[in-house]
Amino acid sequence: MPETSTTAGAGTVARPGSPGARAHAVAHQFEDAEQQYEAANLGMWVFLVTEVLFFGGMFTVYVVYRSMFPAAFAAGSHELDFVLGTVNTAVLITSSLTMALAVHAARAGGRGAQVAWLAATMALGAVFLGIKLTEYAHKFAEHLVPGPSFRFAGPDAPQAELFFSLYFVLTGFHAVHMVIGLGLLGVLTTLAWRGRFGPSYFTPVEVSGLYWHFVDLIWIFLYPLLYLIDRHH
Amino acid sequence: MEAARPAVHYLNADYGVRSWLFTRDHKRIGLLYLASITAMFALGGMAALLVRLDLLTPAGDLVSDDTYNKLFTMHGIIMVFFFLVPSIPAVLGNFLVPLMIGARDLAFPTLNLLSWYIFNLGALVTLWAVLTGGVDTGWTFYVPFSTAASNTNVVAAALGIFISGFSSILTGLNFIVTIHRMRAPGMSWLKMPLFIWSIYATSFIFILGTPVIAITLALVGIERLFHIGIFDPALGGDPILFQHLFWFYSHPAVYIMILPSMGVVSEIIPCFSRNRIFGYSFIAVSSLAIAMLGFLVWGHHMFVSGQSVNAGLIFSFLSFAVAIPSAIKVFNWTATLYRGSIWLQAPMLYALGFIGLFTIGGLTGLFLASIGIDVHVTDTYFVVAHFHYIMVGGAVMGYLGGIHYWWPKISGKTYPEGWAKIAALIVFIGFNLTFFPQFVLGYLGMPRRYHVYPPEFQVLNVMSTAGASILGIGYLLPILYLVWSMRYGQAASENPWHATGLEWQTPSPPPTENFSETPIVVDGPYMYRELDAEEVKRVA
Amino acid sequence: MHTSHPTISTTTYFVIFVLLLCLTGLTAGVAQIDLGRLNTPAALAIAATKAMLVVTYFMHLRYGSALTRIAAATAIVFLAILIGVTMEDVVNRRTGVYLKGITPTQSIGAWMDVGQEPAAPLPR
Repeated sequence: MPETSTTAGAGTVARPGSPGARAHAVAHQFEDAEQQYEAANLGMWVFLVTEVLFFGGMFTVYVVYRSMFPAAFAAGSHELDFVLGTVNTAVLITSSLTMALAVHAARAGGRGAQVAWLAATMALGAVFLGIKLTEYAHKFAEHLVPGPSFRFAGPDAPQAELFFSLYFVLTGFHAVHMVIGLGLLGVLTTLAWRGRFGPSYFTPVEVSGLYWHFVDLIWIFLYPLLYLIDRHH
Repeated sequence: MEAARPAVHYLNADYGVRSWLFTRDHKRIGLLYLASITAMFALGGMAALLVRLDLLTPAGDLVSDDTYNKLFTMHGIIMVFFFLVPSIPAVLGNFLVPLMIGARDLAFPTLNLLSWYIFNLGALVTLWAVLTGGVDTGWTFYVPFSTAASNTNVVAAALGIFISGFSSILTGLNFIVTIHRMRAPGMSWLKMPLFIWSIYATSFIFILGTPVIAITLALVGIERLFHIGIFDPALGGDPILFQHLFWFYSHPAVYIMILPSMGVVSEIIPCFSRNRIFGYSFIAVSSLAIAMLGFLVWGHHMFVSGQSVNAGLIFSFLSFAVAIPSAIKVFNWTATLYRGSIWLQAPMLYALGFIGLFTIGGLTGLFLASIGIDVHVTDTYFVVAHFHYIMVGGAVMGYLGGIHYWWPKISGKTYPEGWAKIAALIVFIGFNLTFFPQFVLGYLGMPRRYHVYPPEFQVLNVMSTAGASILGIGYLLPILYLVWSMRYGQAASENPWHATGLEWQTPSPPPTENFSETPIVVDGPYMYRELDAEEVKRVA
Repeated sequence: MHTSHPTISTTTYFVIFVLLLCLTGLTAGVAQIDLGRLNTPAALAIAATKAMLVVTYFMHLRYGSALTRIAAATAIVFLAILIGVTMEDVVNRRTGVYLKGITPTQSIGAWMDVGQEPAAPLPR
């Protein structure tokens, strides 16, 4: 059962020559393109709710342990690279801007603009991951990766190891989500290059945009929670 | 009402294995799930059979201690995650939701198919864990045993459950979007069948709860694999924190298991008493209330864990509160029966059995919610009996009732009613013989998860095992006669039960597109008196 | 295709972007100042503000349906329940209602402390 077979009440007509002008067919279970778009939008938001709870479990662990071991968490936080963390935050925020502009371009129809902004988002995402990998490499060299090789100079070494466990788990899952996001962006950029998106059909761009902004949202909280504990000391 | 079996319908619209394995039709996907979960039920049942066999004697001489631990663990994991959680939503929900709301399919048919493959992948990984040594932590995976001390396939089992969680999430997502966005014209929220309300409420739990068990088991796996201490007490880790995270999902999970079953009962009772359901909006709102309140009571699994006394008090109080919407439903179903024209076909037998057994299970839940009692009976067979009354006496009976009720629609055939009644009776008798003695055993002090017990408990254990064998036969019979009916059963009409609801206004089995034209809903649900009055007028 | 809500202009996006960068700078700066117990609430407040900007403008919730807003709110509410109730237990393990004659350090919570000696035996 092909999902994009047209039926009565099928795709809309777009301005001829504009990207997305090939009217995107409405899947057979929907009444019209509007319903299809609304369903996709709601679907992505519902999925993001699951992501909030997924990361939320880790945030719960963080809140509990930080309340139990504030000094150890502060000591651990001091070992993180403040500059790289701040730069990465700016990088991700910028990538959210470029993503929003990509969605805007898809709605407006300019193929070049779409591809440019999507590619920019990918590039910024790659920069973020590059910086993250650098940080991980540093931590590995400094023996701050939890496990048998963990070595922490300080009174609360075991609890600091707990901090670093959380650091790696939180940023690790975040990085996995970014990699998936980069994959999505790669597909989108290719499809945008082929002129698939335009005023009559831009749902995948918008919906992927929601996902990408969400990944940014998680980092917006991770940054202060991990990098900015007791920085005034 | 006399429409013959249609020539072309969803079962024969396309032939071949590929047409099934790559289908996007929600009805076929429902049947694919039926196959998967029946297989898992059989496996979980075999584990239970071995457990009960071992418990025939007090000495624990059938299997070793370690093997016994693995058996009850696998029974729990398979039954909870791979049977009860998906059963009604993935089989009956997938099949019926579009039909009941007048849609051609769910919102995301490809995601629906994907969810089935993900489910199977999770099941295979878990089975691999079983076959290559098993898991002995209990389905509850408590730390630090699961992370540090157990030397069984914890990571594989956790991974299998993690994977299957995505199946739940996709299913719940599909239902929420479909119910919100794709109801037929005229079907307002208060005209929806109560089964849809219960699937909707269940979907909330899928979305909000499943991710938490996913991350929790992921953390256990990560800790075990990479020796990254998260729950390790030596580093300051908190085992009670694991329990909070685990039960935050696993308590609402039991509402995932019971709400759809309640939805089935809400469909069957009006039909087989020919009455409008009593208190429709109360039942609808109660479904939502159970889903919401169900997220606030998880600590009643932790009364003796060392959590704060305050937390215990709050959870105890809220656990009493969450019983109220369930009780409202039981009252309303019973009131629906009053002055009804009771028709004791197999679905009704299951539904009536549900009401009685669920009530017993629910009431014993109140005993457990009371901390003073719980301290004595926690971790005993009292708890085991309590949740089996709800899960088996409740959820599974509802599931079987639903399978029978909608079987004509699903298969286009009628099942043999005589055999179905016998099977229902065997299930009822077998069930009570299995689990009622366990209330007594628990109250007398027999702990759960032990296969060595004081000899004075043997009689009750033997009764329980005898009941389990009878129950097994009761479960086997429907598999046999339902499969038989697919080939040899009488053709079913469009509406053999003279039921209300859009699913009964399309042929049995339905065409792939469900409806030749999008239906327009005018009447409210469960207008049985009016329907029967019309029938009488027409026949007269 | 769908004209159900107005599009947000690129200018707005840039304004929000600059705001987000400023707030990032702010939180980095505030972290260097000792505000005592207010450091963490301040950081979280700034993060929440940034989050609201992203959700409202970049994720278009400004013009979203009531349903998507409820979905977003529901996620936050249930996360708050998870964290809040768990923390209630963590914070209160050594307080609460006790039987006459038993002090908090002798309660069931005390021996759960990491690194502490087991409590003295309960009075008979």
